[in-house]
Amino acid sequence: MGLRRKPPVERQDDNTWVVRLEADEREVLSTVIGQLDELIEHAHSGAESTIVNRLFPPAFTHHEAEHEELDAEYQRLMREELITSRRTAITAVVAAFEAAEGNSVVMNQADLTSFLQTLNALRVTLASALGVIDDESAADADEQSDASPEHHLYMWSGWMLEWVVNSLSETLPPEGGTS
Amino acid sequence: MTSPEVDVAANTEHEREWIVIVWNDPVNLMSYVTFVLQKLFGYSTEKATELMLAVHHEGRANVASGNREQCEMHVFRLHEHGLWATLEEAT
Repeated sequence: MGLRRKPPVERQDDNTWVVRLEADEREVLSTVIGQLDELIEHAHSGAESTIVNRLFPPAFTHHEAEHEELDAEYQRLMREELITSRRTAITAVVAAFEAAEGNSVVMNQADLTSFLQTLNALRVTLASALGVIDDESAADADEQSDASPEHHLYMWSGWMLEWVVNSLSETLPPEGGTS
Repeated sequence: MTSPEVDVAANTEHEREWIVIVWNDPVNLMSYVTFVLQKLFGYSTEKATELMLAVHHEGRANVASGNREQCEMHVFRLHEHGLWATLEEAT
C-alpha cells in the first residue's frame, strides 16, 4: 500500500479544519507574518508606500476632486479600523500556530478566515516587493525558475490560499444567500 | 408650535446612489475573488463567477450599490479581504 499524502487543509466532522504545516513551515510563516504585522502597525494614514497603498487602497474612485476629499476623510476615519482588523487576523493565526500539535493546526471557521485574509495580505505584499504590477509581470513571476525566497513564498502562499478557499467554499450555499 | 427642521443636504446625500467597483489586479486568485464576492454579498456561485470574470476580462465590475454609507462599508470589507475596490457615484 502506497503512502497517501493528506491534503494541507481538511474539514473535520466537528466543523473545525486541520491545516497541516510542518514546524519549520510554521516558523518561517510566523516570522514573515510578524514582519507583515509590523508593517501594518505603522501603516497609519500618511505613511504611504507602494506596499502600504496596496494593503490600504483608496476607497473612492478619483474621478473628481470632491472624491479625493471624500477619500482623505474616509482614510482618516477607517484606516485605523482596517489596521486593527488586519492585526487581529494575524494574532488569531499566530495563536493557532502556537497551539499546533505535531503538524496539525486546528482552526475554527473564524480562525481559518483569518488565515485566508492573512495569507492574501502576505501574497499581495510579496507581489508588490517582487514588482508584480500587471498580468505580464504576474505571468513572469509564475514562470520564474531561479527564484528568490520571497518568490518561493509568493508561490507557496498562492498554493495554500487555493486550498483554504476551496475548503471554505464548502460552507457557502452555491445558490447564494448567507451560510 | 414649531415644525421640525429638515436637513435637506443630509437627506439628499442619503438618497444619492453609489456603486461599488472591484478592479482587476494581477495578484488575487480568480477562485479567491469569487469566494469573497459570495461570502460578502451572498451571491450564487454562478453570479460571483460572472462578476469575477468581468473583473478579469473587462478590468472592473460593479458588485454592489446603495447609499454612500452602505457602499463605504462594502468597500471596507472588500479591502479587509485584499480586493482592490472603490466606490463612486452612479451615473
